[in-house]
Amino acid sequence: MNPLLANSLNRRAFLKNSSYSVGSAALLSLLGQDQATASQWRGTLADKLHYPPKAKRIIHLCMAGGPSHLETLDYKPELAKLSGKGMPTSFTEGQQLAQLQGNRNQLKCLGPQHEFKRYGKCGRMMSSAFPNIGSIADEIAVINSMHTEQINHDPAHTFMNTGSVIPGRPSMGSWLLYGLGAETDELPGYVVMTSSGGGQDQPIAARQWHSGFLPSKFQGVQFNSKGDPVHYVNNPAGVTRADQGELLETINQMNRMLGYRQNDPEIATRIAQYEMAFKMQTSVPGLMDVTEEPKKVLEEYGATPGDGSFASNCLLARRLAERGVRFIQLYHRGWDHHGGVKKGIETVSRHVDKATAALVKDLKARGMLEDTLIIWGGEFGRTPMAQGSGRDHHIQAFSLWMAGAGIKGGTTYGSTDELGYAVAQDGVSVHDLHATILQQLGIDHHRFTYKFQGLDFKLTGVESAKVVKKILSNS
Amino acid sequence: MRFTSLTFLTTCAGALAAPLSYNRDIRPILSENCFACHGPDKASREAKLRLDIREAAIEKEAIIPGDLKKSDLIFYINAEDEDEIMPPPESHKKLTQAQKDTLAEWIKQGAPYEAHWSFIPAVRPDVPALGENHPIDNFIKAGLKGSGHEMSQPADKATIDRRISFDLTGLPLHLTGTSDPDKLLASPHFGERMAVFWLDLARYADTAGYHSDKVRDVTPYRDYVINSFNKNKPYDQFVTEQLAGDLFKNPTLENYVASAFNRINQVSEEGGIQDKEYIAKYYAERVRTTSGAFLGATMGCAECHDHKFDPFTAKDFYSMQAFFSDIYEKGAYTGNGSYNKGADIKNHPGFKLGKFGPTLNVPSPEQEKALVKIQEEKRALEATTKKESPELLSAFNKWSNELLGKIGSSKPQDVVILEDAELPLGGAKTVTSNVHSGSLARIQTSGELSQHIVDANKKPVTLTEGDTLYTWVWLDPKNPPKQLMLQFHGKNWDHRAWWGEDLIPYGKGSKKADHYKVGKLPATGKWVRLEVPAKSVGLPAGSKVTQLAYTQFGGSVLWDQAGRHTNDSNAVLAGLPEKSRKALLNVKKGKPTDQDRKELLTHYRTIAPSLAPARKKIAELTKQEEHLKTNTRSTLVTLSTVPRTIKLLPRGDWTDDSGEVLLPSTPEFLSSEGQPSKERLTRLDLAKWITAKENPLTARAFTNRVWALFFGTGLSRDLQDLGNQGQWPTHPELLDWLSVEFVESGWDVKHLVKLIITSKAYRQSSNASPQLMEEDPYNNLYARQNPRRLPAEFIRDNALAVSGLLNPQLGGASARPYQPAGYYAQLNFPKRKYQQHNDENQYRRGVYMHWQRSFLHPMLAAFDAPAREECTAARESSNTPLQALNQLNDPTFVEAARVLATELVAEEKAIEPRLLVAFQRLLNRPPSGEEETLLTELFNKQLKRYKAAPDDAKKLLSIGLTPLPDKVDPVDLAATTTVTRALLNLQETITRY
Repeated sequence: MNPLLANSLNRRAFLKNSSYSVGSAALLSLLGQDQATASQWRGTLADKLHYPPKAKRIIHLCMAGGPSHLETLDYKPELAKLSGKGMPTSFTEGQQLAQLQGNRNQLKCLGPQHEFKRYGKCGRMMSSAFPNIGSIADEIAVINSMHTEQINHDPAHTFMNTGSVIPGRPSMGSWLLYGLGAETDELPGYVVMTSSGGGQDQPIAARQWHSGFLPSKFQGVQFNSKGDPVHYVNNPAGVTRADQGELLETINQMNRMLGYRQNDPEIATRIAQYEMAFKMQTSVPGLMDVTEEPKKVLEEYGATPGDGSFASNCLLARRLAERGVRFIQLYHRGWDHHGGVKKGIETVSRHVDKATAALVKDLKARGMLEDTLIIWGGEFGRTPMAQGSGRDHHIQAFSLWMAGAGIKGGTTYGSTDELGYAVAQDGVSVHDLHATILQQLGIDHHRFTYKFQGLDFKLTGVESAKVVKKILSNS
Repeated sequence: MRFTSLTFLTTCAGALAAPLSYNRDIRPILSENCFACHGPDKASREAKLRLDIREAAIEKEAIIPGDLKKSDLIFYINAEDEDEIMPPPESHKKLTQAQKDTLAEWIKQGAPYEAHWSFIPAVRPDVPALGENHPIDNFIKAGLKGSGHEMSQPADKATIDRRISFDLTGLPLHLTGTSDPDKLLASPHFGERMAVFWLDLARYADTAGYHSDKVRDVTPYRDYVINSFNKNKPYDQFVTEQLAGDLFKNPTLENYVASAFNRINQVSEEGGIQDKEYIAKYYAERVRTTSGAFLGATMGCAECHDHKFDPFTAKDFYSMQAFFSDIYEKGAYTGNGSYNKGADIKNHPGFKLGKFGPTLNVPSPEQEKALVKIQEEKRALEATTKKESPELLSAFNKWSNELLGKIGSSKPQDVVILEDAELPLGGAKTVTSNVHSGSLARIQTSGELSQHIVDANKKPVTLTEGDTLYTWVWLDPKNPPKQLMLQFHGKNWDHRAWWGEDLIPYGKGSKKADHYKVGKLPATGKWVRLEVPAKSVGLPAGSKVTQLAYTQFGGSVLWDQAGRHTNDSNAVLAGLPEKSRKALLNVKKGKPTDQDRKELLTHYRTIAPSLAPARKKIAELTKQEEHLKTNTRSTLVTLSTVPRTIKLLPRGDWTDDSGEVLLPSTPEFLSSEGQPSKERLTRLDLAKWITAKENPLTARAFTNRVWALFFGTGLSRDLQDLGNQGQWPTHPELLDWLSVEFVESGWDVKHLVKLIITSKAYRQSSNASPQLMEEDPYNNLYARQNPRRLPAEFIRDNALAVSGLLNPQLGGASARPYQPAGYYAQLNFPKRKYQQHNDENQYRRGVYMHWQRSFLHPMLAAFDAPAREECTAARESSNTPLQALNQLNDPTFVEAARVLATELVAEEKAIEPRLLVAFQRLLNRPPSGEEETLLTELFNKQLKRYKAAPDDAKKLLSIGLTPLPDKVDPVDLAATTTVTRALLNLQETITRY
């Protein structure tokens, strides 16, 4: 029934049977179409990776809002002792503060609001507010010495995603598509989903998944839990899939006829794009329909189909990973705890804890964890100083974890001072993190560049970044 | 300011046969491979060697002209040892054998250097005498010499006509009806077409950009750009008005509107941001935009270090920032931000300080007239209320005596602060059926947090000892709130009382007066009085209350009268303004002055029953006046005030105060040294420098970009950067000739455009021979035209125009076409819902579409329109499945298809003649036999299909706002719509060949 799903042979057949007099150039360009589908998502590094890759894909669980490292991953008993007492000025003098800048002289410590316990064989101290993440302690490598340059949400996300605070630079996912291409021609190679709950919803701009100066085919595509899952993916009212199929076949035939007359390589690409669009019209709704998942799986994730929750998104992330999507980014907006950090953490944990662990375990059970890199963390951390009952933004130190794809589970890397204010040992910059991610994908970040405005731009910026080797099992 | 030639580079005329050109052959190699470590940036220079200056390279013996053996450069590039070879392995750069040979040949030829081509003022070259009438064609022909190729044949007339119409107006021939360049250049759509290009450079958008990405009106600037191109404003004037229109001697409204250019950068109002950091961001962005938009230079790198490839220094970067340091603005558009020290909007009559700084109302001529009329009427009425009459005086006496009698009563009493008049403020909903007092109550319903600030009174309420604050509320028993909070504004908002659960974030965690817990929620289903002692919320006697906020978490609540319960024996005076109160007390004491009487009488006029009709009329007029003003567009505007101090920020670090203080100054290597520096230079001086005819970059950058509008590529390929890392032009003499012609014509934009499109080169076919395609894939010879997919805006315009839906209105507020629901769900502060236009604004051109920086309309984003966060000189032209989905399913295109089909069905009975009409409109040609067969087949299949399911036909035909016409067969129309959908989706439709 569906002529569009016909393979290239049919197109050759069309060519043979066509009544057009076909010049050799047109013939060449028409045969070129066969490669167009396959090659359009091929990355520039596809056959020439710098190292054997450990990861084929990435799932970035972006905990948006700035998760407190002091209530999640960074165990600070000394801070508990000083709770309610003045923050030693030796820590904060001359340092950048966000909303606390007005109270510079009356800063008080706020002890960790949740108890820490030992988890896993590795025995790492982790917050008891996230028992399920605790249960995968041996799968994950924690970095407690992250630091960043931007103290406000919007630029900090931009920096985390693009390695630059100047808007218009490509996001991590776009870089990966550019370098590695995608393994699916039925879905976008870079998919973004969002959820919220647990704190005030800071806005997230589409620039976070934009392709910047890279061609727009590399930009992230946002999947929505309400309305069309992808913009315009559903047929107009009164148009069935068969109608749309006939329409598309006509469009492509017309474009092929144009291809005989006009020497323009874009025509072949356009035909391929219409084919992919048509496939997406089935594959996207198919992907989003989780009713086919066993009840047990839904329960493990805590997902109710169609609720737009982080849990549902985690399940969809696994389905996307199975279908060859290269970069999957889930934003959970719920971590901006200026006030009531204790309760806020409890609430956000209800949204993310179970599903996060379920995703890691599910991938492991399916043998996919070994080539899926999972990153869990936010754009910055939070102050050891109190802001009322909460904590302010903090860039000197924060924590995140990674798992899968050659990451040495159970390791803890880097540390902060006794109050969790600044990095004490083995600082990891955002660029270092990017370099590490690229390394796991088989890319030497020094050699991964794109020319723009006359310059060789890199995800990892101008300064030299270093790979965090100690958390990698291949070092 | 004067320009001097570049003294640091030596020009050496190569006298050898077939000499290499430094700019064409050598500089690209050195720049790409060597300058990063051996170039202009001192900080990263290795071995103290720089290769960008001939003397320096010779002094270090890297180059000994004519002597390959003694030249270290030759040794190192050929070294085999990893520790010796240049470029070093860790740079991941490698010279090819051909590049090595070229460098060697160049040293043999004496290693002549040339200044970088774009940094030398352009000199008009001779036009090659190759027998063409048009100078451009002679230059193109000269480039073809020896290539074995010739210019392609002109495209057929139908193709050229369609090409010219799109290129000059962004609209199809069907709408413009002509391909006559003069007519099209005179059409107002020319300005719209050029604006699409300019607005990318100027990073024009409808929203602030960062974080909450709120709307702020700058649409008058967009219209200024359109009008300027339509008026053919000389380009130098255009540039000057944008950078410094506010500094003109007597700036016109237009000059001020133009100056918005400096203010449409992204700004932030995110909580907790620091003024200084964001000022640093804004200044840096302005230098990037100014250098990018006007000079085609990338000064951005110099924010942190001297440019590695061009002679821009970090000092140049910050000195250029200093030109903008007088701009009246904040870094943080929050309570923490502050305007330039000493800035005062009172010194700028006619301007206001809006949410995002200085703004200016920009009324249309009709609005201006209406306003004058209202104001005249108002003045006349006000004069009548000021008359004294015996009746008025006697009523006044009666009133004041009554009041005097009541003063001193010591009974505790309620004194109203807020009632009916204030309750609907802020656009709140009100009810009239269930009220506590007066005739209105305010209703607030919310899923989560809901806060409404209500002005307490124009006159602040002064509290007295023992006062209690109260408000009447009614809680919906079916949907009770979780928490109620009353917030009072004294000197700040830190005066809060709350009932119920602790969910509202304001003051959360505190147990002090900024978060005073009163108790449980009151009973539901009846009017109850919330009360809190003023002292408990930190408002002792003598405090003033200026505002109140009704705040709740969840539920549905009616809010009514608020007030204070007081023992104040003079409470009866509470409703009086401060001065009248004092005056009345003086009367009571028996010591009234004339001033007191005057004061009281003045107040009495505002309440006297006899003057009520006049007051009512004045109030109506004021309302009309306000309505007019709020419906008047405004724009952000540049105002010059006390300059901030600009320091060089080491490594771009805004927290580092150690850098030297810099005054405004243009890049050192491009300006003369002996410039007068007695007076501080201004943005006007900057504009003069940019538009000086000796400035080597300005005209080249613009000419190169205009060329690209009509050929798809620039003569120098990188439209962003004409510097060392840019591209050596394919036709350097042509670019210089055009630039000089442009300047000497008086910066005449239409002249430049006409010159380009009247050339044979422009009119060539874009359908190249296979041999030409293979031998010159990037069209460096310009022996053909380039096919070009239309920019996003014109794809939309085309669909609307061919279907007859397009609203051709020029200028005005931004338009909001259909957009997927929930697209702004990730935005916050405030949360918002996109409101599409349901009137003729739905069908406006793409250039007028609402430009939300953080979530650009998906259609614009899919077709490569930039978010305009930064200056953009070139759009990508991508080809993606999202584009296909958009064209297929976006209601804009489905509606255009069905409206086009409606016209076809009305005009012609059979499918064949319908196809003919549609093809002419869309493609300016008839269909071929095969095309007709294919589309007729589609039509017939669809006819059958919709005959079987006429309801589906009706569904398809009700997409979009346009009503379904009566007396039309829905089955026929739906099948025809499928055909027109196919046509709108064709590559040929969205491409100009």
